[in-house]
Amino acid sequence: MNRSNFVSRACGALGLSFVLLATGCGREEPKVYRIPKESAALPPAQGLPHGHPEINTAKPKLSWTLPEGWVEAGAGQMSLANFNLSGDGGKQAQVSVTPLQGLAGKEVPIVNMWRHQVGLPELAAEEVQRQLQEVEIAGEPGKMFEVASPPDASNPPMRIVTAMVHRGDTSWFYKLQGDADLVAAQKPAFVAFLKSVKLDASGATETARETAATPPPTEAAPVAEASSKTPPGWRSVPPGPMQSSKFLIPEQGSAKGEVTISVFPNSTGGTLANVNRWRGQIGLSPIGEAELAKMITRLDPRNSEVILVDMTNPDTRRQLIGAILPKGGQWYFYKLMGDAEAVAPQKEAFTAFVKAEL
Amino acid sequence: MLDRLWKVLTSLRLTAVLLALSILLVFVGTVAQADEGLYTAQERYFKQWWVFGISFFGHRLPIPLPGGYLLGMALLVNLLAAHIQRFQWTWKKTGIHLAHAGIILLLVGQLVTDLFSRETQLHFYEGETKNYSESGREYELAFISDVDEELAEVVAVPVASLTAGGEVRHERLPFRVRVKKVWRNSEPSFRAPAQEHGPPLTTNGIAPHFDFRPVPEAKTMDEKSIPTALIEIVGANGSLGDWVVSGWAGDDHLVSAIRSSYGRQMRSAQMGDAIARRLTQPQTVSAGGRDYSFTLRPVRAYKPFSLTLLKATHTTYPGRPDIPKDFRSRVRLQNPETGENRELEIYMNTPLRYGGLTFYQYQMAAGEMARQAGATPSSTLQVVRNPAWLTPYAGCLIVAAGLTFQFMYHLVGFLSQRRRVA
Repeated sequence: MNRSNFVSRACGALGLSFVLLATGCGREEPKVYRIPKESAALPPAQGLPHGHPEINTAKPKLSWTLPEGWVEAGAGQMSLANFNLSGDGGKQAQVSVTPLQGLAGKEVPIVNMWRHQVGLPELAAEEVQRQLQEVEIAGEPGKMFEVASPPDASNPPMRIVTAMVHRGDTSWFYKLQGDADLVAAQKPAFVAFLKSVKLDASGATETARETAATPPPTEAAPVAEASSKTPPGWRSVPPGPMQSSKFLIPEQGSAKGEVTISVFPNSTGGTLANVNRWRGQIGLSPIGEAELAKMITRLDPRNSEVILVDMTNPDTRRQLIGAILPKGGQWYFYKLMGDAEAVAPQKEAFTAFVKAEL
Repeated sequence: MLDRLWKVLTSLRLTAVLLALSILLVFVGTVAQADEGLYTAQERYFKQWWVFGISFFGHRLPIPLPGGYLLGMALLVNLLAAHIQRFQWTWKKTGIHLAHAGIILLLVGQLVTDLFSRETQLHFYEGETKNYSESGREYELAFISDVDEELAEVVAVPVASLTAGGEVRHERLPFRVRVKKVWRNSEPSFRAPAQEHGPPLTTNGIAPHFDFRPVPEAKTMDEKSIPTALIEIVGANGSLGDWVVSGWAGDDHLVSAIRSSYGRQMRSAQMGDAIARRLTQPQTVSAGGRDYSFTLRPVRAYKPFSLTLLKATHTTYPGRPDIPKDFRSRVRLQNPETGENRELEIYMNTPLRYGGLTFYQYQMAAGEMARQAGATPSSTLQVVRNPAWLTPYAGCLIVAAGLTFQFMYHLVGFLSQRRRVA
């Protein structure tokens, strides 16, 4: 083969390679294949991508008797329960309950960590042991210690009372911290709270609260469920998605209706948006703020956001009575909807049902 | 004319120009990563024949540049042509030939790797069996229909090939897919029952429950773009409706993240479950006498064998629960074609090489943290298919052998000459 022949062949081969590569080797083409049938199941509730573990999935069940004046503030990223305490002159304190792993027997660094937090020097091991007091926590012997911030003109005095108990390889920390005077005043209530705690580590996911003797008005309400408060004739049925409770009301001939309760962490758009959404559900056109003001009934003289609306579509005879109840940092949406013949007789019972949660 | 071209192809001047352009391209492509993101820059500057317009410190300059493919191919051609032109079989030049052959192998190997290698991930929970791995970044629109009691047929259309206003037709699908909108990256938000919303993208499937909005494409390595598209499925007798398909609904990782996130926000795991179920509810159309479910999911690569995660072990250093010491997956490999059924361990520096694939231990959610969180332990394996994985080793060895030979040849010649003089 002479050189020019070789050159033209080589160029031809390379040109072909260019064309093949330029077409991208079919990467963007649809693929067809057969596979064994797969079942569609929800993946386990795991953390964000890249394996970040979620803290707030299954947690031990905790119950307690709520001391007077304490306000539940729900669970946090690490804590199972939080409470807010208020005192005179705007003084604030918080209580948290947090289980942590692998800290049994590490009282000395724990105490010193808290001391560091309020700006105190570290203590020697013997001194730490002397400062630990015996306390009963959830029926078990635990330890408690206090740290208080040194006098500082720029910051209000701060005090932390920490109680801890080790169960297996989990250490439970109960921490009362905040304004020094308020913390000192609340310490007896805190000790009583520690005694009242009941712990079931069987893996249930919700925390539960026993009713205190006199619940304060701002206390967070549990989602209403079938109970002695449920009006007669209402039948509890499994709630649908996004609902926390659902009841069927007594039928009047062929007329039917139901009550649903949903809870959200915010007002989900405000009263007008909610009312207009409800109006749409029974075929009514949206209204403005002026009309809204005329049709709402306020259920709580202390809170103008607690409202009730009653709407009926005269053409379809569909009626919707809705109530919005913001409470404890959550918004409860009550809805009685159905045929007017069935809904109207239940209005009084429905209103009382909502008011019972105030 | 041909001789002139040949002269250019074999010239050292061309080599110098190409190397200079390569340096320029690497510089410009690296700077552009700040504006365009790592993966876009790689695609636009290095995996292209030409680059039209460059990003330079926040400025868009209308400058054309030869792309990575063109420069690599031109260097290869230049090297080959020079070799053909100057090739002489003498002992004196054997080392040079070997070194050049090694470089050619490196260039070809890199091209083959770029074109044919594939990295996917296999994420599974303890007790779960999987026979497929998934792409970390690429998504596909998969239409799935039952063939018989046991088998399903999948027609998977790469999302990269979807364009707004475009249409997808396939001989195995009895309908056309009109792409009305396609967002390379998107964010979902739950249409809470009482939230103030505009109208949903469509009233079918997941759209009444979730809003999606476009967001800028991910730019860094630890972010990824999650595509969403609004499609219309058109059968033989007209439209079968508009549907929203989103990577947020078809990617298990993202669904579990949404489930946890809403569960936390609403302080109710049940609420999180309910929202996740709405997101993953099957979307189906009937056409040509069959039901077709469709989902936008990470591109899947199915294997003729399966792996079951038996145990995920995450150990840490004593006293330092935040520093991982070992990630280790105990898996069962089952291959119905060969009858294999064996247990093995995959851990750092000890991957599983099987079926032309390499399974590396990649990520893990196990151990104390996962146990404390009540999470099901899981493991992620990086699955690499690279038919050219040996070429860098072979290329470097050949280059080293060539240079050693050349050095020794000259050394021996020099020593014998000196002996003769002495």
